[in-house]
Amino acid sequence: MNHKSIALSAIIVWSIVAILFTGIFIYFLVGRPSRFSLMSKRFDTETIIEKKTLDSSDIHSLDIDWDAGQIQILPSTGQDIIITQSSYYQVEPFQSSIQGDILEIHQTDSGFYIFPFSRFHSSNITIEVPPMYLETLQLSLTSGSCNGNDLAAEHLYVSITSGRVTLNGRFQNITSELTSGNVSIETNNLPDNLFVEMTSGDMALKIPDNDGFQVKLDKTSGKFQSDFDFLVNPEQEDIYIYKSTSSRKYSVDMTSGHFELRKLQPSHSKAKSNTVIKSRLIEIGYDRNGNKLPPPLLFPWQKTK
Amino acid sequence: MSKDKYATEDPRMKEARSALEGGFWLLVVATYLIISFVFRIWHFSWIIFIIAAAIQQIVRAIYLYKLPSPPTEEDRNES
Repeated sequence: MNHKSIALSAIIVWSIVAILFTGIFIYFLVGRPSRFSLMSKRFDTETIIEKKTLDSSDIHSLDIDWDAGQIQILPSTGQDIIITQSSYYQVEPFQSSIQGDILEIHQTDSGFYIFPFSRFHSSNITIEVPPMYLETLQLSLTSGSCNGNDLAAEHLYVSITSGRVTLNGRFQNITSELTSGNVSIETNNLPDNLFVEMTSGDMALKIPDNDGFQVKLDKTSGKFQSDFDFLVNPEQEDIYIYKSTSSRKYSVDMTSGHFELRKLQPSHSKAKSNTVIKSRLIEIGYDRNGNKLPPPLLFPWQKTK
Repeated sequence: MSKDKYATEDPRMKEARSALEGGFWLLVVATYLIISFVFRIWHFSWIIFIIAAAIQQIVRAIYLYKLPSPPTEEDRNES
């Protein structure tokens, strides 16, 4: 076998590979989108994928598990919990189930994909909750963001791998686990228990001024900042005491990252309630200021009729 | 014809080929990023790299095919 026949064989083999993968690429690019295809259809504007209305009388807890996209938790006027999912892509509708008195909401996988970037097809969800005191509010985010205003819960659990969580309201017990990302919580009442575990990321907690509490800070690295005038016992440098040795003992475990414990200013809650009203006016396809959002760039054949 | 001509590639040709391949891959990466960002097709745009690698191998094989054959034993005896 001379070098010419080897070269010829290589040309044939690599041509087959090139043709095959070019075909696959073109199929992905222009293939008819359907539930069974590998590509999701894209809409010109953010479109409602699913809307569910549930009676809130038997629901006392919320468990939200979302991978990619924005979660908005808003107060509703009626007695129903209204869940609206929207996206620029034809993603799978979310799944919800009631386990006892817990309403579980999960984002569903958007079909079969062949690379980790597949979850780029995010979808947004708006959950309108009537004014109620929840037993548990549990949020698990892989990415994306969550905004919630004027919420009230006995137990708040926030677990994020990445992304951003911004909540305000009244929370009696707070547990927050961050791998990375950003968590901002404002509570109008002083929590009885606080447990924070951070691998990295940023967390800001605002609590009202009070008669005293203590923080046990277990820090490998990172930064802890606070408005409170803490006293530190030289023999126990990881215990921060505010005013008195109260029974309220908070625990913060940081591998790295940035944790802020701030005093909630009395005027802050009023300003936030305006934000609630404003955010309720947000329509699909419009930003917070009411400006129409530009549609994503599309191939001509991907545009919906 | 000397024997060395078949055994090793001309250093200038080698340098030119290396520069060409470097430019080619830079172009491939740029195409991948532009297409992926603009059309948001990260979940399959990586196929571009397989296609590019196949194209590179085809071009190399064509180049190899066009190289003159090394002298046979008979050619050597004649010379």
